Amino acid sequence: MEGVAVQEDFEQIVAAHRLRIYRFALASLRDPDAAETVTQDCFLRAYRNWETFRGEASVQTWLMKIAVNLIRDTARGRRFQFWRRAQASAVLMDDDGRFIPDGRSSAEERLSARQQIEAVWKAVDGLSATQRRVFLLHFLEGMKPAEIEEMTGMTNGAVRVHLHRAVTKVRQVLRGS
Amino acid sequence: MSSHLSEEQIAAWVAGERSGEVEAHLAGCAACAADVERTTDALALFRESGMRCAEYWEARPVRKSSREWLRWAIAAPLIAAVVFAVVLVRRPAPAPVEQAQTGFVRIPYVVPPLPYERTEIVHMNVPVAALIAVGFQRDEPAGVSVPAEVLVGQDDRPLAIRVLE
Repeated sequence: MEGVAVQEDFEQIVAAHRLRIYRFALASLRDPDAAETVTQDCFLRAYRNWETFRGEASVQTWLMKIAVNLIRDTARGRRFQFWRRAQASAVLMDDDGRFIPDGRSSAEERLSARQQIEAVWKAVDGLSATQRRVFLLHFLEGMKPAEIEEMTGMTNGAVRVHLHRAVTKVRQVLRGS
Repeated sequence: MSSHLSEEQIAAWVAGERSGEVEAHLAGCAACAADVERTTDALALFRESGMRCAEYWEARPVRKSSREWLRWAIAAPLIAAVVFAVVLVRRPAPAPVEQAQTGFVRIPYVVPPLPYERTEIVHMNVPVAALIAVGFQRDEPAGVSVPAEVLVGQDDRPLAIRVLE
């Protein structure tokens, strides 16, 4: 019965955190299949180690920490590097503009929004792996520097420096767009 | 303070670090306030777009794994290894075999799939000797292979076999 209870608990955790893990993996890897694999591997690894989770960090931080490590391993694959160069932008910005937020009725507003989003992604492409990780955790996932510090093992000062540099690069690209 | 905020001050503010000095400057400097707003607007668009993008891709069915050839390559030796181990320790064949309604027979001495484990079915020719070791009753010579479907776990271990008659 205990195993059933653990499984039910874990199903709730999967339901609550799955999209977030997938989103971070997709933004990091730009490959829907790789993001799906990372998400599944993340929950499988978490399930296998569930009994060792002591609640010192939040479940979300713990899962994200697992995801960060899996994404890092995946991104090192040579085949993946090739794919990423070839199709990255198509995944993030389709021609139909379905990823552009609502509330922009005119064509000019939608074009402007698209250009801004593309500029940020372009800037993200130019960041180092660590800067990109910190940037996405903060600006996409809304995580605080203290949480990023916990899941990446970086010091608070290092997180802040990476965030500042990433924002500066984004602003440079935005100015040129 | 100089006439406008430095790049470092703006970057820190956009990154969420608050200071009274910067706050006071932004309240009185339209140029810096507009500059900060342009950046925060773009980052808000980026975040919202990233969420839509993930929701779109997450809702799509998963495409066939491009690593399938690798799973084939790994599953076959694993099956052979299981059979070899069974023969080596001379354990009696499990009887009766546990056969689900799907026709799959669970491979003994292999850790069953975990609740969140990703599994997939691969087609391959399995030696009759392997099927007998798993518990199938077969009349063919041991050296013959027959087409079968093998349920493979996330770490590429074979979990169950269904013979395609």
